[in-house]
Amino acid sequence: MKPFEFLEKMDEKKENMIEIKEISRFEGNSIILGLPDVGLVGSIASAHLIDQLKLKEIAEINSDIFPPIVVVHKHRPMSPIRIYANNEIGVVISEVPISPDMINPLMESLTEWFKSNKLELVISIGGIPHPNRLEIDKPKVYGVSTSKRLDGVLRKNKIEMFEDGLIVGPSGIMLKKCMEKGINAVYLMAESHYKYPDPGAAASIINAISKILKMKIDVKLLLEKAEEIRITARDLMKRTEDVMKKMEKMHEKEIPMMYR
Amino acid sequence: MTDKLPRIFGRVFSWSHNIHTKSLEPLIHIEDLGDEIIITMDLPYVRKEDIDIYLTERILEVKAQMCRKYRCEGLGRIQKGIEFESFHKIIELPSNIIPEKARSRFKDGILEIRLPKRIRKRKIDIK
Repeated sequence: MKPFEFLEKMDEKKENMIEIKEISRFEGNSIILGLPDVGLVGSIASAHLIDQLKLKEIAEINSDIFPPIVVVHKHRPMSPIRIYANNEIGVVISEVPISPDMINPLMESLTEWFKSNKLELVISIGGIPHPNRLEIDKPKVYGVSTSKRLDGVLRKNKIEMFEDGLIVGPSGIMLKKCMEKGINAVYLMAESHYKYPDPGAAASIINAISKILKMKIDVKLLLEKAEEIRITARDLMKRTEDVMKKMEKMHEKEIPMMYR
Repeated sequence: MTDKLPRIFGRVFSWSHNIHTKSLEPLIHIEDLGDEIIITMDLPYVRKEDIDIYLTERILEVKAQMCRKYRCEGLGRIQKGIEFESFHKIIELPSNIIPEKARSRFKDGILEIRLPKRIRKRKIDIK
């Protein structure tokens, strides 16, 4: 056995433990990945997209490595990680924070699923902590992509490029895996509170998605409900904060030493 | 919309609240800048005039009344129908502070309190 081969085998085993159980076939060409992270920007934006675009549940994701939590909806148990879609767009949502040991296997299975569905574009969404968020009325959105062509799409839509820095967590791994597998992907980050649910940042992200996908998605109701969302998202934010601490999310605030 | 939207977050509800006083514990962030401690708190549904801040050298207490009650709907049997009308938090400070020099501001539902530390420091000459 090669050195550390047993670790590779363990990773392989974890990948196989993820099951994407389809309820119906995905027929769209773009997917949004909005997982709990900084300011719950991805989660809030995804929930709004599901509601506004009236998306239906098309798949649930199960695994023995997920926390032992089952969501009950309309008297039926379901996985906390699910995929919603219509015939144009899909959204991956999670009601539990993605812990460090879940990231690689989950992103591997999801990117394989993206590939088998021949997706044209994967958009991961999240927040980037801003120390003076209180002074910002309209949070700016930054983007990083897997290709020059997509860089052009970001620039055309006036989304500032995230030039240098560190990305800690599922979105960074997703981006890397998409690049390796030749899947078009971008990661959009809105300036946001770090530890407080930030519906304002989520609205900025939705506006950026609207421009990229040329879809009209209204954010008026999201902003009107902002205070209610901040209360109901409180507990998920707290649990996400604990997970962000474990994955050393604060590294994103560091000034990176770059080799060019 | 959005009757549904907040429920996605509210399903797995923890006990960071007090049913008897109908109060929620706010999310907080504490930053130690060396000479000063900055504490921020997320207080949705709260207006500036409804916040009370009490301070000693080592303890900070914040009570904030919401402008409308928040009622848990669409949750499980245990939480359904519970109403909350305020936030309450007591924080033991990491160092002694000077209460008279504390400053605070409230913007977009976020309370920021700046607490200068009581520090006696001496400059040391380098030989």
